[in-house]
Amino acid sequence: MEMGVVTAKWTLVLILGLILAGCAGAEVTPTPVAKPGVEGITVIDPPVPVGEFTLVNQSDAEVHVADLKGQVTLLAFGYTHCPDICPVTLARFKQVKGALGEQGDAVRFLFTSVDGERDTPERLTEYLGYFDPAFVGFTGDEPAARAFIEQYGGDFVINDAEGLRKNYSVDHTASTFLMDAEGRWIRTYEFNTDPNVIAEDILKVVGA
Amino acid sequence: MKLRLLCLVVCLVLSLPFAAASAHGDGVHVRVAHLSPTAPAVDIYVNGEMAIGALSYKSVTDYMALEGFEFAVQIVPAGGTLADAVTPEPIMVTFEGAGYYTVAAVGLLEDGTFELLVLPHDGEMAHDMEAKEEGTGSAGSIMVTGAYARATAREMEMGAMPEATAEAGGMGGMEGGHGMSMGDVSAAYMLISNTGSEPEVLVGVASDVSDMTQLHQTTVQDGMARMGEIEELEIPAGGSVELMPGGYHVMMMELKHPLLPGEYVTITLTFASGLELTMTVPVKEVVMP
Repeated sequence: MEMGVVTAKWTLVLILGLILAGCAGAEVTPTPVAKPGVEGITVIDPPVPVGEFTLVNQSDAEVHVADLKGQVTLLAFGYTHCPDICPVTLARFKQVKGALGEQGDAVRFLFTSVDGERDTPERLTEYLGYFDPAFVGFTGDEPAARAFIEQYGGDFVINDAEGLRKNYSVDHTASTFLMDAEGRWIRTYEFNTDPNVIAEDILKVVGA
Repeated sequence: MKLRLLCLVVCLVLSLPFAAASAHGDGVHVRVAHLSPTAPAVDIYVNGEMAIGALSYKSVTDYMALEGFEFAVQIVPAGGTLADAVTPEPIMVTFEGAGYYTVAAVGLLEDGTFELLVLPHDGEMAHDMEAKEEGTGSAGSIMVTGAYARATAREMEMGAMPEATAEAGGMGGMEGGHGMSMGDVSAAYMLISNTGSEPEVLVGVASDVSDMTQLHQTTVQDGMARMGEIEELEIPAGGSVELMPGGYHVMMMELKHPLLPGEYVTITLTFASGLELTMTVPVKEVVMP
């Protein structure tokens, strides 16, 4: 009985790279220093108090640095017309929240727009509602967003050289940032950090 | 992620030779699905010869044409020998007649519920339906698998409208009774393989739901995500390129309507060689990289 029997011909050579966790030598410096921790996590030590900013939330109420206090905050930057990265970031927010279990509600998940022109509070409400209506959104004009993102060493570039104000993309910082309940920046998580790893790290911070 | 990619590549390499046989004609057309969650990746032997290698959980082969209606099947943990087969005796698989079938490995080895289900399909139509469901398509030497468009909306459950939305002025911007909508931008992802001996260069993308469709690439470097249009994407001879979140994607702008899970989108890929592949792909929630 003849049949389409196939013997796989392996032409692929798979090279598995070793991931080496970098170990930096201990250095004592008086200024905040980024310490390599678990892969993808940078510990900001000592914590950096976030400076004043003025943005609006998705209910169009003005928000300031004081609004970061009272809860641990996980912050990402992006924009609602972002086709690729931002939906992943927010889907990961959901995963982090899920992995936090009971502590999930104790953390503020904050998405800050770098595209205030298109991202009105209404737009943010709709967008975040798709993921989790409890997620908080901030937006504002370009200088205001810039004043906020630069505090984290972040940046964004609006790709609208032709000034069409339509269908433009925005390059932006993809890392996420953690603030403690005093509104101090304490962690940076690289874009591809496993949501479970982030959740574990946050649980340590909230002491759960 | 590496593992998943590996699996995709493995399945693909294995399924390529069957692609040609999957089209039309009489006889038995079979695909095999590994749906036994605790079983390892397996090699499948048919009548004593290895037919499918390293089929991992949740993987499905392409359809393959078989001659005959009864086969002795042995399932071996990948890389093992027939002596390691999961059942001491070969499992006899019988097909009632010509047509399309899925043979699904289900149940658990541990509790003895493991079995091979033979599921007949209703001819070509079923085949087409599944191609649509799975986002598979082929033209010339190009084969696409796992294609989907990212959902931009979901149906709102009755009474589930969040307070914040109500405060912000209700369902502004959402039309046609759709629920929570993310806006008018989406992306399609897929694995594009080239079974030919010449490279194929993807030069154009289009969809039936967007007024503006482009091939884009996202890169994340030094913490910055950058996105830009790319003019062409080469699919190397005998190789494949995966479009996935955080990398290449078919960017769909100015969507004509929100994309709901369960809907379908028609996507056309145009290659420099003149080859054109039009396929129907499902709308799904984003699959995390």
